[in-house]
Amino acid sequence: MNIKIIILILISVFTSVVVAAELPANTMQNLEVFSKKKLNAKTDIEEVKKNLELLLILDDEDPSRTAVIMLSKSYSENSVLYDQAIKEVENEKNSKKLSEIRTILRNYFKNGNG
Amino acid sequence: MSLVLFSPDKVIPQNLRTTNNMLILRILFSILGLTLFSLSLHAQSYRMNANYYLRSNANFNTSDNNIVGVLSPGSTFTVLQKKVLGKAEALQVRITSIPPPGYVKLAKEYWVYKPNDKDFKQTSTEDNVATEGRSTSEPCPGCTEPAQQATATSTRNTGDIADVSRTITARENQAPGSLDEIIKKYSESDEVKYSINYALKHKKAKSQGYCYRSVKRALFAAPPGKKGLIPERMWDQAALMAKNNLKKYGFINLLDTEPYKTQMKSPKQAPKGAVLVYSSGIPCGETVRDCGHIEIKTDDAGKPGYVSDYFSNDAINETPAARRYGTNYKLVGVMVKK
Repeated sequence: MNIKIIILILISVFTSVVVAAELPANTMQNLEVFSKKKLNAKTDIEEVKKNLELLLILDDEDPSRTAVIMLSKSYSENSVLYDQAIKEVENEKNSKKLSEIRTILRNYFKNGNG
Repeated sequence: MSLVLFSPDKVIPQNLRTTNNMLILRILFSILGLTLFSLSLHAQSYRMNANYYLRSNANFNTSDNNIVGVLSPGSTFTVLQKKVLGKAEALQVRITSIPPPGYVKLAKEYWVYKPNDKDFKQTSTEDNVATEGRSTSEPCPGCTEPAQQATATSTRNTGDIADVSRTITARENQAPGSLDEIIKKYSESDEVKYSINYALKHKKAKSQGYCYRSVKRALFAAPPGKKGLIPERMWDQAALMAKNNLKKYGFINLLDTEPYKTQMKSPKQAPKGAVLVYSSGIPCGETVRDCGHIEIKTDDAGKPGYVSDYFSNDAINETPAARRYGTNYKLVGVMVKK
């Protein structure tokens, strides 16, 4: 029983390390470029979804949530598109995280961090 | 002094003292005495090209408790003792001059960490001491005084140590409250302890995007009947604004002040309780182009611990993610209250 738990923990740790290591070194740079891009509601939804999934991966690795904060301005300019993308990405597993991410996306640009 | 000690009259037996013998011996002893006298005047001396801490012992690894002063550019000193620390050296020194803003407090010994030759311009050498310093004949980058003149100054200063030490003591009294002392008092103050504890108690597992709000609350927090580090609530919007706005409440930015400006390269070097302000390049609101980030150092210099609305062992620009994916955060303020 105990061995099974240890193996499960090892697998989950190993998996998370692999996921983090798979992100390219220019991830933040790409997000920064994306944050300044003028988005088209029809053509850019897939890219928004892709970046939301990226935020979910980074959320485990970076408690400062810098990547989320970086997209806050983009959210304020394209909130309908983001909310639609969030709905499509959302599932039982990531629902709580996505909810927190959406709150930051909505408030950071509007209110600042003070 | 040397000439008297090495006079042949004192050491040659009476029966060997012929006129010729005495004449030759006098010449030989005079040469020996003059050589030693000359060597004693040529103790190894340096002139600084940058700011360096003076410490009361040769321990450079732990906290800054042994810092007793700062050698500013133009400071001169003679070396009393050397210790080799790998490629670097620890020098026990006798200070001959410290121009402002350098200063020194009274201590039994003064030690300087010498990591390289770049910032240490050698002005004279002692023959029996191995030296890695710059030769006086070599050109001195950034040095306006000719090498010969520098040597003369150094020799004169060696002869006037009593005067110089009086000058140093006077300057110590004039020094603006000794900034190191102020920082130490700040770090150890009850207000800082309360503020850190408050922030740690209210932190979340991850940032909620309100780093500045949390830090402001922590700075305002105080036990009943006492005042916090800031006397009133602050209503500004962006963390970067703290760099200027905290100055209203008596905070100073160590990055505006030497030697911290030159030597503080990482948030890790900041003292306990320092409020660290970063630029981020991330906008917030219609008018704020750079919202920045802010966090409080929870432990002493060299130790980990940073808190805002979340806690991290690493400063925001030194997290594993920041190292892996790059970061735009730049430390622009290390604020402590005077």
